[in-house]
Amino acid sequence: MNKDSMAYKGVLLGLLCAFCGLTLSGVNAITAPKIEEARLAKIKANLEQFYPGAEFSEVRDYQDDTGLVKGVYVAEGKGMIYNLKVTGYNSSGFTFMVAYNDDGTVAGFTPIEQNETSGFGSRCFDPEYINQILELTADDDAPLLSGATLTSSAIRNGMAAASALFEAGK
Amino acid sequence: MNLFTIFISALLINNVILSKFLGMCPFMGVSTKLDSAVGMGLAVTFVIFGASVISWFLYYYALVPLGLEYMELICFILLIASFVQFVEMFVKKSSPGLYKSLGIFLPLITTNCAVLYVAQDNITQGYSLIETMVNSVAVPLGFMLMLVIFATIRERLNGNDVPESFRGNPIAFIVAAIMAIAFTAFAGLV
Amino acid sequence: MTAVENKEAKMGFFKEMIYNNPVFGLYLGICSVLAITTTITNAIGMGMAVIVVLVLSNILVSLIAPITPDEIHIPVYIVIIASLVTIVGMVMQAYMPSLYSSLGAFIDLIVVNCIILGRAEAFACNHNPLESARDGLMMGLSYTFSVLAMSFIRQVLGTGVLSFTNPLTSTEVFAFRLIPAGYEISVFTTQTGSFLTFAILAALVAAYKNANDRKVAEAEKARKVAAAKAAAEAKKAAAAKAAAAKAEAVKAEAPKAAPAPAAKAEEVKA
Repeated sequence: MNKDSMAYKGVLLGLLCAFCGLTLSGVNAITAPKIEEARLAKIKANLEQFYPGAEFSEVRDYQDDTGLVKGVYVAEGKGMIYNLKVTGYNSSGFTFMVAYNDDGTVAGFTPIEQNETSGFGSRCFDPEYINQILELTADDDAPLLSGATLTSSAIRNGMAAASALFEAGK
Repeated sequence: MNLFTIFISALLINNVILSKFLGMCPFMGVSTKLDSAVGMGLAVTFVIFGASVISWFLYYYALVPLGLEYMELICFILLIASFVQFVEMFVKKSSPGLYKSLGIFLPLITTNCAVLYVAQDNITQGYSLIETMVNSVAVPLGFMLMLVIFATIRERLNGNDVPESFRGNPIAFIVAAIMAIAFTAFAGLV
Repeated sequence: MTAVENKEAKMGFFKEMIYNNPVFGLYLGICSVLAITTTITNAIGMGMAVIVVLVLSNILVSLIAPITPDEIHIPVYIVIIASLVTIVGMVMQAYMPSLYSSLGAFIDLIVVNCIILGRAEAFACNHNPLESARDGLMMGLSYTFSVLAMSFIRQVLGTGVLSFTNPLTSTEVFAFRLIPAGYEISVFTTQTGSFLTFAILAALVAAYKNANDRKVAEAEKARKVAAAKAAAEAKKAAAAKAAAAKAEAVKAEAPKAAPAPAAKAEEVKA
């Protein structure tokens, strides 16, 4: 087969893609289970914070129009936990989890990943602010914090989305 | 997510150059003159829009049903390379002047980080087709906005007394630093 | 190699790193440099990934280049590089999850890092696998040193803490506070600081290059002047030699000429 013919080029590209595809599927078979395992363990570790020792299950289909809710989990007989991703001051956003007991009170609030401005937005993750949230119920809005307007607004929007789902689920 | 929010945040708040640092390589090369900046911006907008929409379809209608999500990177980058090749042929035939002024930068759009990023970001964020289209237009428009602003600044910078070791690209990065501060004013707009 | 030659070779290595630095000299792959250099852990992690991809892709490209027709060489190289990047990404996500989440989308963007495709096209397709591997390693190390320098500055000035986290176990290996808390310049952790640090490092490299070029130009000029001087002196010496030889010849002739008039005078006398 001549090097310049279309057939040669086609065969070369095709063989190369097939070879790469096979290698990738092999590596994927090795690494994918580990990745999934790590992901579930991380989520479970976070869920345990709210209701240690409870039975957790994930809710797959939920109707969320805001796009902020990234995960919904049920703690059997105890409450609901919501994983939210919102954008405060930092454009890459931050994630946090909020849990509502079955009676509607806030069971817990914890940041997962955040990079807000230290001394300003990060005050929303200090015990002083978090204690204020723990006093709330599903009907209340999270308080705004002066000097941390964007971050606390983002938390308010996130919790509003979570409580909307909570009310809908009841 | 609201289409308007996506548009404004991709254009101004999370500007692809100042906030996400993507598309810097061609940016430094092309932002020296205004007319090549506009031409490049339009070319990149077309490429990103076309490539992102096609890759959206490729992902959801070919890769996901076949369970081949891990082939995403290879398929996307091959798609982008072919699309740029096609655009290059088209521009060469339809407007040779534009082709000549863009020069080497037209095939280099393949290696523009922004193109691959937008294609992948649409999937990561789980956008629908309409949201993908809006995002894929807003991001390169942000790129073009920055190109035009920079070209006007750099054209004036050329005549000024820049310290010897800062001439060329280093002073452009200082300009970018100041613009980054300016654009943080848009945080919290939507 | 003697000690002096060894030292020169070592200095040559560092000089090479700065002179042909792909990041600050040629401005290749700057998207990733600006984005990930927030901590040293990120820098080392990214540097390692780039080295692995660069070395392997250079080897594979140099192996496949002889049988690849010219028209499809770009897609072929892209498929190779993209597969390598996907593999590196999958391995990183499985075994170094904290590093994977801090580097984010920039692992996949290694495939459009201009350094890798650039080296594949410029070097690997024309050289044998061993040389290509070495070139990949050199370029990768160059890149790693550049990002390390930048992250060092940004992390120490921006957060005040110099720390490194083991990516495999996500445990902190060391953490030193170099700037007292509250006195750090947090702008260096933002996009602005990234541009600023890059500009200053690029200007430093440019200054070094300019100074070096000036030194080389002056040395060349001095050499030329010395050569011209030596040539002039050689000419002068040659001319002096010729004059001396001529004077000798004249002197030799003079006694011959002198006796002639002397003989004539004697004849007249006699």
